[in-house]
Amino acid sequence: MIFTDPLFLFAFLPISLIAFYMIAYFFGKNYALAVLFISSVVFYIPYGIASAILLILALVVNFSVAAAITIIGDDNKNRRKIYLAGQAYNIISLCYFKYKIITLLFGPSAGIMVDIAGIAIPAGISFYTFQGAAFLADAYAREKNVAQFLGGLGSTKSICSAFGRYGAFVSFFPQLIIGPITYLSEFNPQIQSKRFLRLNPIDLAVGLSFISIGMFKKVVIADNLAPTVDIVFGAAHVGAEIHPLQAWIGALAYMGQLYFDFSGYSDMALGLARMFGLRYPINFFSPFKANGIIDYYRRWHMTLTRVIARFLYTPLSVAGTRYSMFNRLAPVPAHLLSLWLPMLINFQIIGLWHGALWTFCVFGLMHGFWYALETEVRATKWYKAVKKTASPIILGFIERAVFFLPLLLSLAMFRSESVSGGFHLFSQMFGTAIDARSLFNMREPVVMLTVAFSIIYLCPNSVEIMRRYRPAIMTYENKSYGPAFLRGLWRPGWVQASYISILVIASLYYVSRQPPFLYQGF
Amino acid sequence: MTKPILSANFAPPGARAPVKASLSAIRWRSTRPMILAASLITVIYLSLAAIVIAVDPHNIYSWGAEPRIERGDTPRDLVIDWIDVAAKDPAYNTFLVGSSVTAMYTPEYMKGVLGPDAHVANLSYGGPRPRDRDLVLDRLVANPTIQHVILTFDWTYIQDPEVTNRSFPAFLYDSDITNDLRMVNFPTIRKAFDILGGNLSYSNPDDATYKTYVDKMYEGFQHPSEMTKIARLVERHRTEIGASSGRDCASFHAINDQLVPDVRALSDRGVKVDIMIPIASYAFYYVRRNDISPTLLDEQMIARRCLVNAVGDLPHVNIFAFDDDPAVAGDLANFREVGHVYDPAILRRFVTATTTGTGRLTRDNFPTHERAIRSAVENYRLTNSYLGRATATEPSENTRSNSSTS
Repeated sequence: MIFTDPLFLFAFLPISLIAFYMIAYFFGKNYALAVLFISSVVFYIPYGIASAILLILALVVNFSVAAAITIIGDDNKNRRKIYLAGQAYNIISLCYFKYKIITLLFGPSAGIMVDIAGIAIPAGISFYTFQGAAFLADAYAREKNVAQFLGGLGSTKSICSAFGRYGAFVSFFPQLIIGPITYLSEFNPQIQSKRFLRLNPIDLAVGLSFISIGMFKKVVIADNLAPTVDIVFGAAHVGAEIHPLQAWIGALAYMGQLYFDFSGYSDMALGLARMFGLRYPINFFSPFKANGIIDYYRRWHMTLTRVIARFLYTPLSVAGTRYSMFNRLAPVPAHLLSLWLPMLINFQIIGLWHGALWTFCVFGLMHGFWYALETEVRATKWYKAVKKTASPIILGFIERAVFFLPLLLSLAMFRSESVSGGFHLFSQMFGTAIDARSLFNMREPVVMLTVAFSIIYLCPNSVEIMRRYRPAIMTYENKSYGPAFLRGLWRPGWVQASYISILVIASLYYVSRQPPFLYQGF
Repeated sequence: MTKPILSANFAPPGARAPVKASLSAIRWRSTRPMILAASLITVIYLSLAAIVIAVDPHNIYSWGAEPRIERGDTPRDLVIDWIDVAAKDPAYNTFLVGSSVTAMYTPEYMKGVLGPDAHVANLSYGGPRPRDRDLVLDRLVANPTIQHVILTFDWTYIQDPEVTNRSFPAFLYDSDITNDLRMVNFPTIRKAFDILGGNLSYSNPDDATYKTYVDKMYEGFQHPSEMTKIARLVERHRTEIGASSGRDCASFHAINDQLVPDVRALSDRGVKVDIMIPIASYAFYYVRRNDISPTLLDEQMIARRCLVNAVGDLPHVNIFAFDDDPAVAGDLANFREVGHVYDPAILRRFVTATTTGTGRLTRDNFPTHERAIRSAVENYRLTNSYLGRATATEPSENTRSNSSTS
């Protein structure tokens, strides 16, 4: 199921909500969480029985390993081995099912191993694997929430209860397919709170508002930009001559499509979780308002950024720094080892996390170099001096202007069907094929782009609008930009009710032709 | 005047419960509009969905009304929703499964060509792609009363089998019932209420609109500046137009895995299948190589060859093509766009072939056909008798003549 599917919105969600609060009222927390777990599995089954079995298997393996390393004492050498085996399972299943590593290494004639991997990439495997891996790391580090969350594991009943809680944490349907990737330290305190399970009408109202805004972004804006994107990138893939204006419109349309697709999903995920009384970490905070790539990654897919930074960049950077210090390397190689190399690897993994395609690889390289370069520039005395003397408004404007073009080009490469197609699109954007045959009627895409980018740059984001009700856990602190008069605060009332009704009805008008979320494929 | 202070207005010391209760009441009161709106939308939507599913205006279920399409004619923007309405109607024995190049044929016109026993439904829609075309053919294969299928075989079959027309409601025709709720949109709701009001037949109001659209398209295309652009493209890509794609029959999965099995199934049941290769101009290969494939000509020729080899010898199956005639495919005066014939005489000749057998492709004559097309395309010089020009030289407004098309 996908969030914008009427079956989900008008049948699955109401039934799950009623079941959750009824069971919570009559039977308590563990049963209510079991309802969340079961409903999440039901939500996932339409993606394929094989995928559902793989999800359950991942849950069982990770839960068993987490339970074992929680029970076993620190002095037992097997603890580390069990932990590493659990993490190996996560990495291998990701490589096997998502990246089809056997097919890559041995070709399509490797027999049954290829046949099993040949199933469609299980939806959300990158997300739930990362969440499971982070949980295991917390369990190994004896993070205090893990012991409290798992509780006593002395009886079959307590093990089943703990597994139900764990299943609800990892597979909770608002975040199962596209995140946010959540830490237990964000989930556990909420379910331990006395307020959890109490039906709060504010939660419902905030949740409904998020869902209607998110649905509108996805179905009305992103999906109406998609046809232009498909035409332009399809033409670029076959090496077509494209009018420069249409090439720019195509690249900009993809920027808008990706933005509203992911933003719409993120809003809906926050809203759905909130209806069950849970706040989830914010994953998307006006990323195109960033003043550089560093700021961008504090606003775009924030929960992936922090997981990669925690488990990959920081250890690599620390190892590089230590190596440089122990071996007394010169400043330049030391700098390369402690910053540039970890950064390039970090972004290569972020790129490849989206899938095993060369375009993602090039995208990762572009962002890796850019991030490292920007880090260097911002560390220079010159930049610090400019920052001290220049007007923050002018500096911010210039930084955003400088940031825009590389972002546009890198996202165009990200969307391209091949690396050559990506570079071909660049050549057409900066080319002179003004006599090229028109690929599409310009009026509608231009109107859609104007609307989309006006919303992006002028309006506050959903979390800002709803800030009175603490709608999400802030992953990073971000500045808010945009005209002050547009930064109105949301509160439940008739006006807002009319507002969300219009958004939902407009979305339902388009919903019968809707394609799935873009990030669902990653 | 001040109001008297009443002791009842004060809560007794330490009494917190009423404050809590009132806070909860305030929350419920303030969120009431929001929850009411959401509940109302849900109830209305589910009610409408229940009505639509019960009435079944698309005739996709075994229950509900059995609507009919009047004279087999469907509005061109709704035909994709009404595939089952036509396919399950025993009154029709002949189906035209085509694209925008065959959308203009009315059932009466087809009846005039094919004979009085032909009860035709035209299921042509713009921009078909392999997956949706396969879903349509599957519906026809399941129809026990079908006698004749005319289907077009165009460039889309060189694409991957999973490519789908973005507007096509695949959710209506796939095996997954969980996505059927998506059919609840305004046209469907209106149709459901029409049926409840006793109107069980669907009529087509857009013939006149469509004719105006086609005529305007022709006028727009028949313009010297357009011809200049095309002539420039022809000269620019002449050396590479015949380039090899490196593809072989095994690589055309849409043909092998989707089209051929359906054609075989129909042939086995004794259904007459006429596969028409739409007439594309020779300029089409130069213009559309830009956005379809740089080796479009080669891929098209190989795809045709594979089709002829796969089904050309099956009983009741015929394949037709006319674009090896330079007077037809070489003269842009016959077209409203490089891939769309406009000339009524050619359009008639195209469908009449199913009765006369002219232009039939077989294993024996295919090499000649392929050679003729390749040669004509590779040596093409832009020709447009409507604009009174026969060379690729710069045309001018003064050269435009009112001569009739070929």
